[in-house]
Amino acid sequence: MEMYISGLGGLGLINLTKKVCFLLGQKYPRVLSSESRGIAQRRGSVSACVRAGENVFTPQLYANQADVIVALEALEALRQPKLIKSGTVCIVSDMCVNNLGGAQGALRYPDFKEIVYTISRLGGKVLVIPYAAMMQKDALLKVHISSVCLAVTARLLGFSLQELQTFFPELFTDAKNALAMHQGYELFSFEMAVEAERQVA
Amino acid sequence: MSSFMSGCEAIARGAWEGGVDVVTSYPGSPVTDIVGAAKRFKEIRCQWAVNEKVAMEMAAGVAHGGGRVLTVMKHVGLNVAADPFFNLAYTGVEGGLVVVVGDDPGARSSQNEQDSRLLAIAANIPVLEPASLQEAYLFTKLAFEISEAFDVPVIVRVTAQHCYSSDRVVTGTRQKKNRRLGFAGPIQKYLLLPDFVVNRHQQLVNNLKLLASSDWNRWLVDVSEHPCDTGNKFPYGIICSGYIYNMVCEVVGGLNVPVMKLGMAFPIHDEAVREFADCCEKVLVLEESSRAIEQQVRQLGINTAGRAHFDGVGELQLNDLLSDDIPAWNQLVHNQNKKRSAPELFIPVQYIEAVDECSLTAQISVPKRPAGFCAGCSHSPIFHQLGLRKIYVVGDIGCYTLGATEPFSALHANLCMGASIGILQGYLAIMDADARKKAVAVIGDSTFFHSGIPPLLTAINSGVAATILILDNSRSAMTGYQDTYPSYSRDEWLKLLEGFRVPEFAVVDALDVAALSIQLDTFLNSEKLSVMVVKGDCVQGMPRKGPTNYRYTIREDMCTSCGKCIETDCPSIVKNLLDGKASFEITNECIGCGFCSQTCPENAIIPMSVNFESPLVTKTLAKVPWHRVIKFLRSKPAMRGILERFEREQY
Repeated sequence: MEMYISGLGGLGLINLTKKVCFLLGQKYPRVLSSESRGIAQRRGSVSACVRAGENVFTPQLYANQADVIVALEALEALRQPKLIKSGTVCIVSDMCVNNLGGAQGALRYPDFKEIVYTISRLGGKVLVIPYAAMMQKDALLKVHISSVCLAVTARLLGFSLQELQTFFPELFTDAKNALAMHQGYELFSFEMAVEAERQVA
Repeated sequence: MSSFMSGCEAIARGAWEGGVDVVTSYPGSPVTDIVGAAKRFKEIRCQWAVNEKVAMEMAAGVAHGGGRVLTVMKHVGLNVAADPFFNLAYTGVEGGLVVVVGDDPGARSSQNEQDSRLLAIAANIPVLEPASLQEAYLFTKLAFEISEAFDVPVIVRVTAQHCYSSDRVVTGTRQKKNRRLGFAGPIQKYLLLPDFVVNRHQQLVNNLKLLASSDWNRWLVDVSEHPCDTGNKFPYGIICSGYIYNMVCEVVGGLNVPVMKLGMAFPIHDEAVREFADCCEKVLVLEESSRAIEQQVRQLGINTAGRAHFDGVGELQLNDLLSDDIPAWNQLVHNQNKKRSAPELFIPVQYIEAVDECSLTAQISVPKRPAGFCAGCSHSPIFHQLGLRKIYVVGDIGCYTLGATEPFSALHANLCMGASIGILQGYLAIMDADARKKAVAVIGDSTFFHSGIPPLLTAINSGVAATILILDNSRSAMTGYQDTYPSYSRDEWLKLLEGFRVPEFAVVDALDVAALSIQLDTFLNSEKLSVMVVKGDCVQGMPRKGPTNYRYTIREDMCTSCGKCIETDCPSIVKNLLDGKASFEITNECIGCGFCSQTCPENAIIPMSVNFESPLVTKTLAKVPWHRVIKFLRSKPAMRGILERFEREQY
């Protein structure tokens, strides 16, 4: 299993990666991860590579190798487009943060449809998290996207919500965070995927 | 027992199990988190030092006294600590002294990509180079034993790849050892008088020779396929060390290619390397950053295969493993991408199909997202002012380097910790008198105490007329808010600068734009050395994810969309475009610093608490300098509690 997680500083990517590694550790004999940090936490791009399996020696990913890409911010799904291969599952939040070329976005931020299209053209299969609407509806903060993504990823990997509550009880103590976890877990249903498809189209 | 750990946690765990008593450090990526992890063990006393030299000297005291000590620094920090570092090799140690150095190939967060192994070789100090996190843990633990057995400090060299990785690590228990503590002697060993130095140097060289051929060193050598077992020579063999070993393993896979991993990168085990080379037609030495090991191998008279592609620049890539002398190996490297096959993954997802191709244009490109100041950062206003004046700014190392980014573009050079004040003096020494009005030096408080005081004293002594800005946010903010020095109040700063005999000085509120502007102009036009302390607070010390105090908002009916607030570069201000007309809003990232409100010519940016429905009332209240009022009220402990409760209940 080769996974690439991308986002922006402050969205909780490092914690998400740790928890995803823990989950993968339940299924694979060896799990390695590597994060890009530095001064990235100050609005910059942040990413992590995770590899799990038997003969895994480094967490580094090379071209056409990602099985799963999790993007906490829409455009960050395309931060490393070379990783996408035919069939890569791309879990992409539709939250768009336009700080391209400065805090207020001096450069044009692409339309979300363009992002989805590009991923598809590269062979990726896109699962959209309608996070912009979730933020508005449930007053979630940007930082809760990591909990939503964790729940979505956990369900993809075959974990139940009860198992998540056992593994990460701290994520269910705060009401908003618990809501994000529940919402993320339910998001995976067929109906939600169809709804997301409708929104994109 | 085994558990998932980051590289930093593994090193801290290894040190704890190795019986470390004290950890000293000055923060620096990628190794900062080691201290944080070590603090979790109650048996370890952790101490941030004001700089790496002090951290190394404290470590020397512990080790000379018989205790075990770990000192942690990034690669450029080892340069700062080089003086005691080189001399510690001569004095040796009573208790184990381990130096963990974090190198940064690829310069993810550093000024250069230097290889610390080369500095260690120059100092005659052994280097352990772990390949995995398991080894990072184990080597740190063993390094204390080696240090004591051979009477020399030991370096454990790690890179960002180790520190920011995670893996399952099998751990043990803490070593319990009764150590004899006391003041070190004899003076022939611990007093570096010229009479004693040559003997100490000889002793060091002897100790290193013993270590090179020791069982310790042999034990740290790992040969994957023992060449001697096969009888015939192998066409080629690989010698490597450190993180690169993992890449080599993936390239080699299950093939019959002999690989020698050296756990000790300096000094290498001569006999083991010779044995290995004798059984291979060609030997390829693979390492990152420099050719430190290859040079040692060649000194043994062993010809190594060429690596024409390798120049030591950047983080190691697969192409860096290539050798034109060994085509079979190159083929393996080229095949690497094809070799990996992921296990089957069942994901029952209803995928979204690609959207209509005709409606979209060609592939989009993803621009970089430059880092910037945090929302509410106390550095923003001064760089806003410097940018407006188009002054040449000699900067230093810290968060404020981000003053170089758009829209401020107000930082033009830096070199190393504390260099800004010295560089400015150099400029002014060769330029005409007017130059002092066109340039300033900017240095953070942590950097000032780290190594900015000596150049300031030089400036005072020389009588140079210059303007120096000390940006005080009371912490080492860049690396995660560490307290490496005491925090100084406004009055204490004034006393300090008076004690230094600085001719002109002032302490100004970092978020008061008018005060900053006036004071900056005054000092720029002065004929004396002027020091301005810009005093603020780092937002990392504030509960950003909790209730937001004194958030500001933009009154739509008062906003003319002039865009002045955008020039603050605050990430909490969002620009919306509707029917071609721009409008602005402040998101909940706002921490209520009030900087943007001071830049609005219409006074349309006001605290939410005074945003009333009546435009007349709001317009009248908007003229009040709320940033000053709030700051004044918050400085009164009795008022602060009431105000925070009011704010919390309202929003």
